[in-house]
Amino acid sequence: MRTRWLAPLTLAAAAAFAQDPADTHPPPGVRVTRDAGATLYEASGPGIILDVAILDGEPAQIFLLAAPEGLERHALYRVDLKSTALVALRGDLDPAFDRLSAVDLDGDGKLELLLGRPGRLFTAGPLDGEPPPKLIKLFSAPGVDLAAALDAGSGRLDIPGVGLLRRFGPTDDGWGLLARRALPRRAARHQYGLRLTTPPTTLLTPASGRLLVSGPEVVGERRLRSRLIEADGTAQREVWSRLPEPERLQWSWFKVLDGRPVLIVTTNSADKLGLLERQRLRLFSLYGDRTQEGVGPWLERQTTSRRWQRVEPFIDDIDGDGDEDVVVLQFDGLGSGKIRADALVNNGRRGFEAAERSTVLDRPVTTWSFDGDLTGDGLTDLVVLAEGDLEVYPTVTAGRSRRLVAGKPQWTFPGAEIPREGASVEIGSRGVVVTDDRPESTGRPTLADLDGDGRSEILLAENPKWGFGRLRVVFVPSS
Amino acid sequence: MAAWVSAAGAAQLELTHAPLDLPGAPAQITPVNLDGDPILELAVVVVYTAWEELAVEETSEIDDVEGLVAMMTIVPALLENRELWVFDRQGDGSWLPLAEPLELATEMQSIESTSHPKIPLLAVTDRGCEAITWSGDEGLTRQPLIAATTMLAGSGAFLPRLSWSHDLDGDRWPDLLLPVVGGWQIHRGTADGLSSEPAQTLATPSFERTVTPWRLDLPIPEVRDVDGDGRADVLLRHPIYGWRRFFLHRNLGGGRLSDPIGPLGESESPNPEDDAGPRIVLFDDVDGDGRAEYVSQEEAELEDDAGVRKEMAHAKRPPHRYRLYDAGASWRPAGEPRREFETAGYSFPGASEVRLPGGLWDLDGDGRRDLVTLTLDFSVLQAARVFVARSLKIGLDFHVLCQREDGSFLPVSGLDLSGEFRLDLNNFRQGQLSMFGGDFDGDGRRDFVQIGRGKEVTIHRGAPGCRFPSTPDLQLSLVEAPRDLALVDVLDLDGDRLSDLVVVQPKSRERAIESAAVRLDLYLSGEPR
Repeated sequence: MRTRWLAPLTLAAAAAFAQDPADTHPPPGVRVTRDAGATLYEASGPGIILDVAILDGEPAQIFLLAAPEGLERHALYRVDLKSTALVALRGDLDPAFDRLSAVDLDGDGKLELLLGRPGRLFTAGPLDGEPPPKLIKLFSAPGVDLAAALDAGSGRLDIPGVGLLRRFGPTDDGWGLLARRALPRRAARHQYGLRLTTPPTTLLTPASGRLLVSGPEVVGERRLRSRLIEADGTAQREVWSRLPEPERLQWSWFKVLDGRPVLIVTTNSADKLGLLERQRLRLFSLYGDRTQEGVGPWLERQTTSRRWQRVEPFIDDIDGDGDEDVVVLQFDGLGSGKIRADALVNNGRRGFEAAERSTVLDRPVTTWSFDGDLTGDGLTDLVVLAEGDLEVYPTVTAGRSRRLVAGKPQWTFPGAEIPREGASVEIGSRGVVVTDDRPESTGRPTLADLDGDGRSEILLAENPKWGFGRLRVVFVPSS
Repeated sequence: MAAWVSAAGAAQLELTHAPLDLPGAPAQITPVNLDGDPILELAVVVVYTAWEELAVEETSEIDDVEGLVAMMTIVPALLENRELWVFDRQGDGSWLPLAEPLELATEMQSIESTSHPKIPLLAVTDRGCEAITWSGDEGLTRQPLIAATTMLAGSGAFLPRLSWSHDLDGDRWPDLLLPVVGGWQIHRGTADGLSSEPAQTLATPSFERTVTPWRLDLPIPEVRDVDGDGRADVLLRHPIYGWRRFFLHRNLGGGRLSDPIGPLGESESPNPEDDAGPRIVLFDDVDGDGRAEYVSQEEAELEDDAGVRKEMAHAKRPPHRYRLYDAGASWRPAGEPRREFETAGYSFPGASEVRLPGGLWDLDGDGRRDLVTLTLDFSVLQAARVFVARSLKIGLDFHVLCQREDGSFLPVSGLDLSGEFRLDLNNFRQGQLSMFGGDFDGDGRRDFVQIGRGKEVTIHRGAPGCRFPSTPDLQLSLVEAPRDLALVDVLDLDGDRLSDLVVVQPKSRERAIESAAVRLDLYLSGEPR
């Protein structure tokens, strides 16, 4: 049921009357196009793409888990770029299978393919298509979800869930539970029942070694509580962060900055609810505070993104001075898709320069990535999806300009358009709920070196609202 | 000191004001009989943070001293406090603490009062359940009853208004549905309290997988007779989809419950959003015959090219069709509806999760439920101005369909319960709260309450035939206007079966990071004592 009485409050009112484009599904398979030295592979699935996994190697192998249209079973495919074919490996999977992942299970440094369904994990092999791969149950345990699995090293998996971190690995009797640790859990009323939650758990690798971080939990209007869990799972400690004002948490990330774990959050005012208010960014060190009052942020910035818009920080040494900087990608404007990329430059003295390097891209951006070097100059490049095109913006060398990235893309890899529907705002007795109607199933550009040449390729999985899923793989030309 | 509040124009409705000072926000307010006298006490669970001193043991090396030295360091720390305060009503209408507040650990999950004299307050904790009692010598004390790891253990949550005690076997002693990991243990009530061993365990149904690995949704058992045999049955409504998926444990007698019955689909069944059948919004006794019926609600959809004008009209007065079905074979809805009618307005929440004070309620105390719907009034111009003016004024009108003896629903004409509420987008506050909130005069009929016009509160007494006068029967002036309507509640505070009004008034804070102390403004119905 649509919430019709809220329709007048829709920011992009035209979206309510938008017509879906005609249903034109390309046949399942892989198409290849070449343009200006780049090679673009477009793997079209037979339905919705549920998950994608990449197995390393030379060349790497790409796998798709899909829900073929009109069938009641799920299917596993291998994307064969060499023969430009979508190789069906299994078409008879139970529809409960919904996760795919690649994990080093035996500790030999190579990844294995894992398939998951609620409470159960399976390995699959062989993967060349003949004979069809067998699924071998690795283990089953209530609440296990492959999407949350973290590689614990030495052929073990850490799987966090509600209130519990479980470590699985080889035992004398096959795979099984090795250890369990408590995670913070919270309970609240929700809808017609009770909801138990645990804040997401992130794996970090700071200089001190492997670290699991759970949180942050909001405590009142000013404090955030995070829990740090040492690599062996035995030692846990709480870390408290204090917001400068009464603020409401919007987004959060745990990152490693200069070898140390940090917490980055965006917030809005807790006192006043400005619908068009821009999010504030705060960066906290994560160290102990026995007073539990919390340690204040050592970086505070205003972003350009409204409360419902996406913001994302990245840690990267953009000027090559050995100190890691913070790059913030954020939307600018009410919904045109224009984005702003800011670099907050680390001065190496536990502070940031007052003026940031910045670039505004006046493009209708849907999603982005700032994860790797595509041009081969040693600097991370910005990849965005705008009007269906994948665009690569190289980072400008420090000292040449205050710009962070080039104002125009160095490469543009076209694709079919995915329309945006804008953001709708609902106001009800629970407060204001803002929904971004951008197609949720558009993945973010992922960078991976598929051919082992030392340069990354771009991968993007999409499930357009009106069509079948597709995976794009772009081999960028050398500069 | 209690103060008398004038009630201009009302002869039979009276509310007496009594303030209570608390160190923090009340998480739960419940009447209880702790001292055995006929006048109930008021139990208040208070939660607040404050600076305190934390003793930390640590070891360190000191020059000229061999080895490590153990030290005790006192660290000021911001700690959470939970306390149970109990107030005793005095002859002059004021309330005084019955005893020193009882410190509650964060393992305390819920508290409820029971009719058992040995368990006046039942508390569910991380480690089982306890009785909280009072004596003149010892004050308030906790007494363990049952040891078990409970469902919400470790969450640190205190959840108000959870009710785990019910008389399942009809012996008048309250039994306990103790929420444990994996389900609910049924402990029988006895003259001495509760049996320590469970008589039965109901398993938590697995409706379907959780959406993310980071959360788990659990139903809250509802206990009532659905088959008309006079015995309390247990219903487990889907925590997200509500009555579109539920399990029923029928009471087989003697408090023994049947295996779960899933009339509208079993666990792991497809998403109810894809159901082809009626969209069930309620499974309860609607016609007052003691047996539960299904109620479905279908919104008449507009065609995609209806145009903005029709969309607006639809948004203000959405037409809905309601159908009532008997529970047939296997407890599924019978094939043909017993009753079917259409009306305009919002009643049950839809997919938007917007909660409006509509629905099926017994307004006139005849045992049959009546339908309340709401319609809205705003103009295109107002809607268009919302981002300029940063506020929106929406007219709100209540409509009532009264259920007659033959089961038909008759629109009540001549009602004028309209009002308006303003939404301020800069500082979100709902400007007015209107509801059929309670029975303030004890006539068995719900009264209509309007709050949110500053200090003014009006109450319109319910009359036979679901009628409510346009002119309020009571116009009350609060001591101070509520800062937020979320801090206002209507409930029976003193157990006299008359609804009362409570307003939480936060005081200014000494330090921003600490909790604010509050004044609890109680407005109690009935004659001042």
